[in-house]
Amino acid sequence: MDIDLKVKNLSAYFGQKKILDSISLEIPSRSIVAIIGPSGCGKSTFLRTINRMNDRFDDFHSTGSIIFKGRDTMEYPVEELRKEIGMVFQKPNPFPKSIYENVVFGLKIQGIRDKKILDEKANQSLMAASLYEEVKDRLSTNAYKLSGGQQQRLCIARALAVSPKILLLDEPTSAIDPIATKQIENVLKNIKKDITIVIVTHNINQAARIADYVAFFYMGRLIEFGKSEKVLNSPAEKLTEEYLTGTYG
Amino acid sequence: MKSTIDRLISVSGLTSIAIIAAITFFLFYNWIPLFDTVDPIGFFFGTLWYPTAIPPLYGILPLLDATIWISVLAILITIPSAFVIAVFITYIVPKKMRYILKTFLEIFSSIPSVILGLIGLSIVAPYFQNVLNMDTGQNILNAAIMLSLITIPMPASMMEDFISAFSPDQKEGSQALGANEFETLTKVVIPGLKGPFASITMLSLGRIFGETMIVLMVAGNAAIFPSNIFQPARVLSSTIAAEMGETPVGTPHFYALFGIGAILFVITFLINIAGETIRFRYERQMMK
Amino acid sequence: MLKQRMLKQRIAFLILSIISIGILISMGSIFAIIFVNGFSVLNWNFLTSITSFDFKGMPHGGIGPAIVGTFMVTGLGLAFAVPVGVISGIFLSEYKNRGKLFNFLRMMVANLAGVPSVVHGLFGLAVFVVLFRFGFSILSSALTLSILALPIIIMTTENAMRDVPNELREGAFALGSKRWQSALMVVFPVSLPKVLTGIILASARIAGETAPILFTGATLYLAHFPTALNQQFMALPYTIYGLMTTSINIEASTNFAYGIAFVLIALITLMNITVMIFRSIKRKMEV
Repeated sequence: MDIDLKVKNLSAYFGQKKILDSISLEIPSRSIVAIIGPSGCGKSTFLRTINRMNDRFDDFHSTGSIIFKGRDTMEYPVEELRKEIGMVFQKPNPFPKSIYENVVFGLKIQGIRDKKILDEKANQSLMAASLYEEVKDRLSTNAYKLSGGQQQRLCIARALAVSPKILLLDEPTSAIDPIATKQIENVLKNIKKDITIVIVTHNINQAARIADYVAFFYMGRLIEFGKSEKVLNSPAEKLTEEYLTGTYG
Repeated sequence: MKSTIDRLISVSGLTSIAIIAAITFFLFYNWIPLFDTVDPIGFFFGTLWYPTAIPPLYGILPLLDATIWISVLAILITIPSAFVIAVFITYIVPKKMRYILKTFLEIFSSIPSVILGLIGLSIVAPYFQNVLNMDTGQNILNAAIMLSLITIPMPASMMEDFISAFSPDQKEGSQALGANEFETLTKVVIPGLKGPFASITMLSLGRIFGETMIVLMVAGNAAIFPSNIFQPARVLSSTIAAEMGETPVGTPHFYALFGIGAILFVITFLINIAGETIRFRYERQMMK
Repeated sequence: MLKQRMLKQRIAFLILSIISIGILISMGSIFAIIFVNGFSVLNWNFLTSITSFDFKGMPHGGIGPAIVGTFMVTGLGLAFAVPVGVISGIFLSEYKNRGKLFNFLRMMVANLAGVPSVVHGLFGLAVFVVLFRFGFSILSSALTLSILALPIIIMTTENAMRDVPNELREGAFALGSKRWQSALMVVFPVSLPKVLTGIILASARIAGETAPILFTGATLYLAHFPTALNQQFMALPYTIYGLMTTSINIEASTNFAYGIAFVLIALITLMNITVMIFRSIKRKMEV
């Protein structure tokens, strides 16, 4: 089994406050890893530490290491890292541009101007995100005209267009209706043959539906990590069990 | 990794600092040579401003005195008026009127000051002279009124923002204790907004202090020590405007006018910093 | 007791209302005075032809050169101020948006906005007219006015960019954007309408300024339309001042001045109304 991301003793702080406490975790290639846990357990911070989204906060710092393709993520130029590790956010955040411009944005900022490459990539990504059929005749309309679910799939397409190795998703369906959620889950299951997916979710059923592996976070610590059937059905830790059975959350 | 464009933007971002520094430098650079020929004491404390007499006299005290007269009078008219209008808009007029009145104030404040000068000169001055029988209509009072009119919209609009945003729960808390709107205003809102009002007053004062055209046109331009508000006066800013056009570059008179400019610049700078500091302190207090 | 307190409030609010309405009416009457006096002077000839003075100092003809002059210095001033101002605003919003340097920079911008306009005039004289040898010219005046416009443009750009939701920045960064790419390609286009309103307000402000052009290039009398940037020029606000303070024939000059005031206020109010329309469209779009 290939390992894409090796997290070792990762701790993270906002100011004096410790948000993550010595997380160690290995993320296998071409799988879906779901991160679950009660709100405030640090799962979002963990995700945002992987592609260094938290770097722009002055009071954020982290210790330990995250190894990606044999190198510590801190050694990459941050733009390079983010091209390799894409991200989709909780609230769909398309740019107020056309659907087409949204998808090719990541390519354009790399300086790719060749219309043929851009078109091809745009179509591929929209297809991968199961959005192509719905928008192929109106690629030049503003992305804000799309429904919430379509916007979120557009954001997935936008992230896929730059061909990342890993895609991080931060509760991508929490602002979306059940049908659209289903569509997004299907998209994720389809694309995992090419790409590693790490998804934060507060929805245990979602984790059960799509994840190969599940990591349970509690108060900044990784309590349990393993195959999803194992963690969700017969957890080794009492905390995990209490969370799954709804004692708190 | 900073790209070239990032660096370019960072350099441009510092332009304002460079300009402030350049303004300071050139004002002083063109002022200092004055003291080759003129005694500093005669400049700062001289009581006569006769720049074209022989020998010329460059005493700025009468100009400073007149500036204080006009500024104080104008601020005494401006701030209470602005406050009254702010209360009027917040508490008395219907909600719909609020937007219309604030828009009106904004448009009014964009009237060029030279037009207020025109009104002061062609309407107010003859009225003062012919109807109210003043010796001259071009005097401190006229200038202060026109200055206030052009200044009022800014503090009025800012005060209105503060009064209507002043934490509603505090207002409700007071009203729950049985206070009516007016009592809430005088006992809760005004004491709570001392900081912002002080800061707004400073900002208004800075504007009044540096305003040139109105005073130049309607204050009568006599460089004397006024003894009441019905007398003409000449202030720092209008002296520069009135005389620089006919002053040869590099003469003591030229340097003296730059000296006045430097003084004007430093005083408004201090007034504005005071205003900003008060505001900053208030905002921090609110954050706690 | 309660009645007495309510009565107190009524009386207080009545007095406040009377004073407010009085002030607002006097403000409104200024518009009315200019409209009535100015409108009677207006005609095509007044707007387009060259000004001339007879031997009694009476103005004749029109204000064509002053209109052209005002447009030229305002336009040129903006051309200098907009790029620098917008980039500075971007810097404050997207680069140094907190910390000591930021607070200092912001205070400097606020202070620059508070510099008396006559001091700008002195600076323009010392730097553009004398040091750079641009002389008394459209160019010197435009540069001086551009410094006046700068802080207005910086502040509106900064605020406009700050209003753009952070999600968009994060979206751009997550795709590997550099800071300038996120700032210029994502955030700036969204804030553009608000930036434009700032630019219009800045132009309305500098079009009406007199003190900065007094000794950097404006002149009371020009026998022709301006043709080059190194020439002196007539400007609407300066001509009002000149007519009211140097003319011998006060009555005729006053009428003429009101005509100019009308044109100037119409111009500035038009810009303001454009801004209002911009804002209301923006509001409707957000609802």
